[in-house]
Amino acid sequence: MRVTRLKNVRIVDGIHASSKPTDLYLVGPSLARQLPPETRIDATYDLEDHIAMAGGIDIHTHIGGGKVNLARLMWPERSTKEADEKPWLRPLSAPVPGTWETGQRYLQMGYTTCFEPAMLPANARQSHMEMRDTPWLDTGGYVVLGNDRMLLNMIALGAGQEAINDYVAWMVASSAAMAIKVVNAGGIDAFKFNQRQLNVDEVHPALPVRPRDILWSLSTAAEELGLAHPLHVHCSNLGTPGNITSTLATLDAVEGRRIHLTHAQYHCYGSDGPHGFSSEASKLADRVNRTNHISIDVGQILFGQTITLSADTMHQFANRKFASPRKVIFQDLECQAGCGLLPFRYKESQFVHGLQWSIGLELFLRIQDPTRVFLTTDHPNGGPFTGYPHLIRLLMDYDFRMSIFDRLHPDVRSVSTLPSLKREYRLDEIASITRLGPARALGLQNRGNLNPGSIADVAIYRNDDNPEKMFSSPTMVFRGGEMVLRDGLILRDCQKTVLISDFQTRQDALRWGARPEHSARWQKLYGYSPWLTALRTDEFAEEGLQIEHAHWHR
Amino acid sequence: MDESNPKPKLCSFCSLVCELPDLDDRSAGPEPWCIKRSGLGKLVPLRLASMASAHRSAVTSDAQESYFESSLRIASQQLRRASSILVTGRIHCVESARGSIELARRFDAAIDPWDSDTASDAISAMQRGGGYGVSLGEARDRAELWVVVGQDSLLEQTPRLPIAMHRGESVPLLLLGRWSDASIENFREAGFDVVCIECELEDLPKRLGQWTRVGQTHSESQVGQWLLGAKYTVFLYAPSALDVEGRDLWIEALDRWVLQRNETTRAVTLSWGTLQSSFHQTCTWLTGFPGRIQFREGIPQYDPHGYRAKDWVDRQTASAQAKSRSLLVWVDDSLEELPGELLELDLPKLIIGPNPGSSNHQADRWLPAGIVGVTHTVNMFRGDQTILANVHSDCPPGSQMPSQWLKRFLS
Ligand code: SF4
Ligand SMILES: [Zn+2]
Repeated sequence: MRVTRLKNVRIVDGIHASSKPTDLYLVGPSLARQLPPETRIDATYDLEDHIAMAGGIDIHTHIGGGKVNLARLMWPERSTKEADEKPWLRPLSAPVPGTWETGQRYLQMGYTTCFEPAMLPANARQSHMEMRDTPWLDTGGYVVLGNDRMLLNMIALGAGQEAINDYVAWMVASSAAMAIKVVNAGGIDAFKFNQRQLNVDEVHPALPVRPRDILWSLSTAAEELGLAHPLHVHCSNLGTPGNITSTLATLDAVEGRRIHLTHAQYHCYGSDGPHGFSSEASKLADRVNRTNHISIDVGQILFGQTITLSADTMHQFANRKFASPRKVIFQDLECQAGCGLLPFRYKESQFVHGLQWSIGLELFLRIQDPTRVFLTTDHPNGGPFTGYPHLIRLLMDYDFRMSIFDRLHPDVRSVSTLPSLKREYRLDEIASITRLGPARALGLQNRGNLNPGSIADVAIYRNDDNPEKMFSSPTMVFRGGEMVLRDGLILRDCQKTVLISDFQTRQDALRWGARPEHSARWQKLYGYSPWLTALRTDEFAEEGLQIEHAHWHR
Repeated sequence: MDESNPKPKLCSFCSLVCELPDLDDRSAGPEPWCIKRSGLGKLVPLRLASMASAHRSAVTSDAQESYFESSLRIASQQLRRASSILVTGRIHCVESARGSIELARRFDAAIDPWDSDTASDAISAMQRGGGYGVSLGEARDRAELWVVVGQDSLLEQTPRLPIAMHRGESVPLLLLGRWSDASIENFREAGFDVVCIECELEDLPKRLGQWTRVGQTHSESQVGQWLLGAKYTVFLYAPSALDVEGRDLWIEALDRWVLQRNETTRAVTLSWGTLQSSFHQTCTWLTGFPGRIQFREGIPQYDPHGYRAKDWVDRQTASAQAKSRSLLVWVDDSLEELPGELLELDLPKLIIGPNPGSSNHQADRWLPAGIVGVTHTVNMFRGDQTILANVHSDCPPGSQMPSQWLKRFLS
């Protein structure tokens, strides 16, 4: 086994408080703090003036599946204006680049594990294949439920939680998912019946089901099945002024069960002020601060050109007039969900965009526990993931933050409370929002930290007064104990792992589709057998992937 | 998933669910929707025909093996020496696409499937205007009105489509374009209430607008009422079965009109892709582009006009010097005969596929390959490009897949 010694390195993982340099060992694929005497060390790197962090974990980034590929297809133009004007974003060749480029750019920031948050069950195989073709990253996906007609029918007919659990277990297992994602519960399906809005307590136009019922059923299923990650929720009323009400109602709907709110920035708006659009970040932050079972990722926006893509056809369609350039793609998909894509440009001079920018930062700064708020831009929706080092600087450097704030629309400057938030993130807090927190929320005990025995995915950064510079160019990145990047140069390929949630009834789950009454119902709705879209685990082996199961440690 | 689970049986040609056990039973009597004339003049289901020929190509002697080994060596040299390489062919599965694209990247080649014009038209229409699409399963369940636009060739390409579209209860279906009585009957037999309206395909996007104009008193306003009355209308067309001038503009106009309908009601288009969809999808996720690219130092450059396969051929054959220093790599997942225009080309070719053809260009090499979904398990997209099916092989593997040959060039 290859043994590497990282000498005199400062460990920053959000757990170990000491700021003294120490030695860290990479023994084969795992980490160690000490070696048995007489161990032969193959390589030693003296890393004075460097810090070691675990490989970064992106809990929510759109990197694989039908709509992601559509976004690539709809944007054949290569260079963007930002490429020339805003080098700090380290722009990608397109808002959604190909898998080769995605893997490379994540690795070049020290990220090693990423999760696609919106796999359509019917399209899960494609999502996994794209992630398989994204080099250097371990990956997993969340399966989108809550607009699938099968589930809505079950709830409408009062099928009972046990039957729902069985069905959900099958959907998670057959799409080899890490978690369940719900997007605008019931709303995507309602839009297929021409309903343009659906509040948490409103009834679906064709079925006696409310979003509240869906949220309750799914969060209960996640809990009772023991999924590693809680229900991952994209709330109702995305981007709508005043949506804080439905966001808080969503949190209530799960009645104390674990819940993760994704791209929360888009879901804490009020409707006050001269433009009828205001920040309610403090309300959401207060709720998170008071309630241990809630985590969020922010979905920070970054100024510039991007493409927004979402399963939420209802709200994407409502926003179609903002598409820039003016082209839009929508799809209704397989009685399960949909997708909507619009190119979008966030501008500093625009009131709403400026306020969105400051609302995201407010959430970061107001939420006290850095292991329950995670750094995301909801790539590519808020901006490219390559903007993370820039975002880290915004969090760590008040003056830098204000220098951008001062350029925003004057009305943003007069209503936003951002200037009063003087907090500056410390390095260990950065480790928490980019590594430790996401790993805990996903049930990945041996990732996101530098504990002995954890996976030897390590990023080494040279200390720098400018965190943006520091985090955009790690000096070394190790994957499974092997150095794969040095000084920006990628040295070799590495073994990839797919992460799947394990749960108590996994074996039973796989039998759901074999029961005649279920396959008959499936066949009637879809016109094909449930096994057509179900993934077999040996498909991953054939693709050369390892499988790792995540567990919920209650 | 455990191994005892039933595996889905799919047609490797049109990627629709195909009840294969039934097919076996029916092989005795001709069934119109899934039978093709085999080389021997007998009528057999496509799928069975393909298996038979798979067996033929799987049987290779030792002498042949060593011949193929030397072909591989020579072809590797050709690849290294050529100053201009095109990777093309009939690439129908993710595996062949991945291998072809990787080969193109390593050797700084151009890559584009042989017949990519229809797909390219559909893609460029979408890149300009977008639209509101739908997948087959959704359309099947939700449609209150089907509008099928095109001509008979749609059913020749996907004979099972009407059956796959039907959800088992009577749904109205409007056929627009040029349809024979047999085609109309085909949709009727599948269970639809069919009304066929003959019209020039060219004018169709414009006609739709006229039919649905408020206050319309046109003689065909019945159509307008249907269109306005339905709460969820699905417009089905296959770009490859649209014999119209300026297909890309036609698709763009139709898609825009349908998208617009959604301001007040719900309407969607189901665009049925070709077998090459798997290539275009895979190429897009790997490189960011759907094909028609040229790699330069490993970086893909996209030009839908400049890097079309047949234009590369025209350029290379134009000068004798270019000819001798170029190489055309043909990757074949199809059982069809090789196109005559390919075999006639006066260019060195490397053919990787089940069928050697009978080319007489002395620099040509052939590496025999099995058949996707028959001798090997592969991944292929259904025509709506939403479902990526893992198509299971039924025969023991004999010859290698194109992707396996391609890997050997890269190792
Ligand atoms: S052509 Fe159609 S019916 Fe025939 S084998 Fe293929 S899918 Fe089945
Ligand atoms: Zn998202």
